[in-house]
Amino acid sequence: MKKFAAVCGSGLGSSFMVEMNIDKALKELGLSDYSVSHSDLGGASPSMADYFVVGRDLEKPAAHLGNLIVLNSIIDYQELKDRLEEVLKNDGLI
Amino acid sequence: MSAFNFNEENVLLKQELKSWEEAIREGCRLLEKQGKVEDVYADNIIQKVNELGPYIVLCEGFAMPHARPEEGVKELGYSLITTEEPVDFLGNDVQIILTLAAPDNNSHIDLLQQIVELANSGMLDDIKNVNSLEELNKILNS
Repeated sequence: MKKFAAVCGSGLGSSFMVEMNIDKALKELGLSDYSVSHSDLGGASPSMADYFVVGRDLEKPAAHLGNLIVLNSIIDYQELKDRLEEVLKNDGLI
Repeated sequence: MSAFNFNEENVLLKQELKSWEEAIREGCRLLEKQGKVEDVYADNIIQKVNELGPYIVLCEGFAMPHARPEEGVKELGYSLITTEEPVDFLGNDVQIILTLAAPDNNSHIDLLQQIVELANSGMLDDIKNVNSLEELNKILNS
């Protein structure tokens, strides 16, 4: 199972929205075995997920987490879906 | 039906604001007046933005200032400010400022869900241009 986490500054605003969008996008992309969570930056650790989705403002402070998917616009659903599709195809998951 | 209930108490349209700090303080002032947050809430958000960068800018033109429940929230609340001219949020032009007070991890889900829908349907652009509370509520309930 692949784990996805949305991470933002507070852990209850944008990361929550991104979590909802990730779930919707992964369903549409046809991935079935996955889990999604969200967290604030302080509470996030590399073991939490295989892929971390962040806004570009957190690209540097979140770099230690590992596999980052960086969004220009954190609640743009289409951008998120396109980036997820690219990453999942690259990794042979879809 | 909108998850938001906007009224004279929590909305200011077409404001003239000079800085992102002022925008956050103004949004928090509306929340404080309604008893939703403590006066430290604005300082906590500003401090966090200075630490982490503009994490509250969610997409072009739209910011959602917020901090953690323990950083000054009393109960669930929100306020909406639109500005006449774009305000510079550390390199991002913002005209809609929706300040959010979330008392826990879950009670604001409906609000966030609607914001995502508004953003993805392009309706945030319409909100930027509204001139009255009536117009605003018409968009949200459409």
